[in-house]
Amino acid sequence: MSLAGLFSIGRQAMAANQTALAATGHNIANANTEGYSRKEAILEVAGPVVPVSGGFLGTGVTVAAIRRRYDRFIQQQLFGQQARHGGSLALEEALGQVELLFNEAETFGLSEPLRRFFFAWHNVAVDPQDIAQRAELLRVSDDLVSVARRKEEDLTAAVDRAGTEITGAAERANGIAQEIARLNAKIVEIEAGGTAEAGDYRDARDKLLSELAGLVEVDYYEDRTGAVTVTAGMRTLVAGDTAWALSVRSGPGGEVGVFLDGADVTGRIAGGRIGGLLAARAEIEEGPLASLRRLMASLVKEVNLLHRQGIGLDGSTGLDFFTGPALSVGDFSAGADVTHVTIADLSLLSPDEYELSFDGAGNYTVRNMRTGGMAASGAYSPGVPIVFDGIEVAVSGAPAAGDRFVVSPLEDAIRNLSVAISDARRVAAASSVAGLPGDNANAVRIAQLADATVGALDGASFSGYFEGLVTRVGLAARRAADTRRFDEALLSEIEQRRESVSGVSLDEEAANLVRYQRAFEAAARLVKVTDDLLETVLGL
Amino acid sequence: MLFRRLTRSLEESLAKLARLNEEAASGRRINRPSDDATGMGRAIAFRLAIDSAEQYRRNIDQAAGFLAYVESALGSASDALVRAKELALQGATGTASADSRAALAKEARQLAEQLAAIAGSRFGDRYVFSGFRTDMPPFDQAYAYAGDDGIVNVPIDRGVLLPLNVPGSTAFGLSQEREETVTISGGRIVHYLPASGGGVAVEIRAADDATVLDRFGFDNAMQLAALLAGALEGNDSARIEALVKPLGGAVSHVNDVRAEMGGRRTRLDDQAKRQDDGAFAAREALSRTEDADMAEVASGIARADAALEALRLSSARIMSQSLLDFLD
Repeated sequence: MSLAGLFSIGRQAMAANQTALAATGHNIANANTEGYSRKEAILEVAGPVVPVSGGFLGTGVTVAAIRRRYDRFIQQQLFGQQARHGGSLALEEALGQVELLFNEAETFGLSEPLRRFFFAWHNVAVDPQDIAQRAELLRVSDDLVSVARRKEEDLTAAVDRAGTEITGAAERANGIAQEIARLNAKIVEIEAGGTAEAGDYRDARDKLLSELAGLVEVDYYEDRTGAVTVTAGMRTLVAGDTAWALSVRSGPGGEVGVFLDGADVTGRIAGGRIGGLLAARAEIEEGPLASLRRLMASLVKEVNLLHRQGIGLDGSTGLDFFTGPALSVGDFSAGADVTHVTIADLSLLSPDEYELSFDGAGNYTVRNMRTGGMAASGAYSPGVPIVFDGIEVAVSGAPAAGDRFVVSPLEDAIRNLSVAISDARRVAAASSVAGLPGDNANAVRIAQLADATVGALDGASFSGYFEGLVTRVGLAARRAADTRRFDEALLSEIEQRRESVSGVSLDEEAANLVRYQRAFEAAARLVKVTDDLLETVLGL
Repeated sequence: MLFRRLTRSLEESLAKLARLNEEAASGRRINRPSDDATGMGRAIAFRLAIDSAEQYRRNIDQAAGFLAYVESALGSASDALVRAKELALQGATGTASADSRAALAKEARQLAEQLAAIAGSRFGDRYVFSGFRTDMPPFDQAYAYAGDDGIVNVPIDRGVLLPLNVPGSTAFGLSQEREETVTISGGRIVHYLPASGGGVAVEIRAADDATVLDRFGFDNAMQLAALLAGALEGNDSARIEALVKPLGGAVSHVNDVRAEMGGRRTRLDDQAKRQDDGAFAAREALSRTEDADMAEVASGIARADAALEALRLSSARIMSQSLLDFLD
């Protein structure tokens, strides 16, 4: 090898170690950067291999690649766990708020007003002529109604809040998707034609994917150009440099649907914050909200049925104690309308929701949505009332196949509830004939409703059913909290594993600084020595 | 990586401490349903049991007051009837004269009015002997029953009703189950027969047990007392004698009714005790379910606090050193 070769070796070594130091410095600078993967300069023997006296030798060192320390299997696990954690965190937060509404350890719960309602009937039964006790009964009943309404409002507010958060999360996800698309373009451009990796851009993209996974469960894969395709709910969210958008729409029944590029993916999103919020909405609506409405609807029905049979101090009879229950109709049809809907026979009413659907061939079926059983069916005739389980519905127009209506005594059970009696004398405590102020038999019967098992409430008493409601809310909240803790621990573990592969250890980088510095100094020395040699030769 | 692990451990430690603090502050171990969902459900049930027991106790106390009043009224009625029987006995003796009978008649008249007043007793603003017609007196001027036979039932326990009142027709009504005869002075025979509308029909016959000398009837004690007053005023010794037996029967009857009221009161006492015991047991159970063991909480807080301090100390140690401290 010539002296020029020696110079070359020294020069190259200095450059290579300088690059290695640059990588070390970059790592140190980004020691606290989230999502950063440490970069390593991979040194390689530089070619060509040349003959020297005595054998063959390579010509120094070169930086073969800047490698990004990265394990894509761990990364995949991480994204999956982010999605699970995002979902369980959202669910825990939502249910945690809801369970506070049922903290019966405090006095603002529903169980106390419910008790007081029945006790007030006891007091009327013991002295049915006492106007003061009757007035107190009305006051206590108003209290029960207002507490029930407040609870329902709070529950529907929680459901609405979750819906709003879904919209917010979808917007954030759309922003991230667009960022990913931009990074895709950059990475493809940089990596085109060569084998070098755009390490830092990939780190940035991974960080975005991680955040996206926390918002909505995604699948992804990388293609040969280096771009990543992201799908959510089995539809494409990002492909190459294009991003599509998630949108959130509300339906006529208050349902929330998540759409990707116009297609409904609501049912297919199970993870991420959005998935968790969707689950929370369902849990609240089908759990405490439905149970609360069912409880109050049953109470109103049973009390009214008995009260109608009784007689007031003023001789009045046949009066309802509570207003309602009100029937609501959800219209999911195109060609038909419900002209009227009433309760024909309160004693047959069930606190269940019914689906009235048409097959387009002129027939209708009515299905009980809770039991799945059929309540009525027949040939449709416009204006002719359809009767089932104490409800009468009249439909007009031309219903097409698949048109349906949802008739519900639960939807408005509490919203429009109030005490129908304002005159204390009209409380129907008596049961035989008018004009007997000492007759307390009806008041006794209503007071004893507190102990009655109600078929519509799965054979529980009113208080027992509420007890079950609170217990279920508590168990759901507990389960959500435990799941979140578990997911968080698992996430933390996976993150630690990622850190151990990709994270920067300041101790290690400090050692590297020393290492490369010494090598640089030695290489510089070589150049100096070669310079001396040249001078010596020139001085010959 | 290290820092994140340390912060997570610190967070968990703090959360544990915060939870213990909450228990200490509220005195309860269940501060939200998720703390112990089934426990909270049970707490609701126990509260219901306690409040129900209190309500039944209230019903019982009110009923007891009412029954005591009725019992005392019946006691006064019994006393009046005993006195009436004495008057009858006095008036029936051979030594009685028209004048002495006239004096007795005055008292007998008063007794009849007294009985009517007792029958018209009011508890608060309710006539107690009128059945459901608590807004009007049970007997009219002719001592005919104007109330009804409604029974006011009061719940004294789950599924248990106590009849509270006794209608005037039962309390003061008199009847004859089967025919009875009594021989009075002069060989006359008195027949006591059940009357067609309830009540008692009395026939005084001559010694031949065929000739009917006198006939009268009565439905209730007030009418009986009025008859006595009338007989004394009219110096009708046969009638006076004939009224002795029914008056004795009236006394027993009123005392029987009174004893039944007493029996109801005993039942109420038993129930009251049951409710009190039930409430006590429920309170105990509620406390066991809900209340925090303060000693345990206090020692838990001390432990958690110590652990947190140790954690902070070791974290400080770990975080402050690196290789760079040792390179020049």
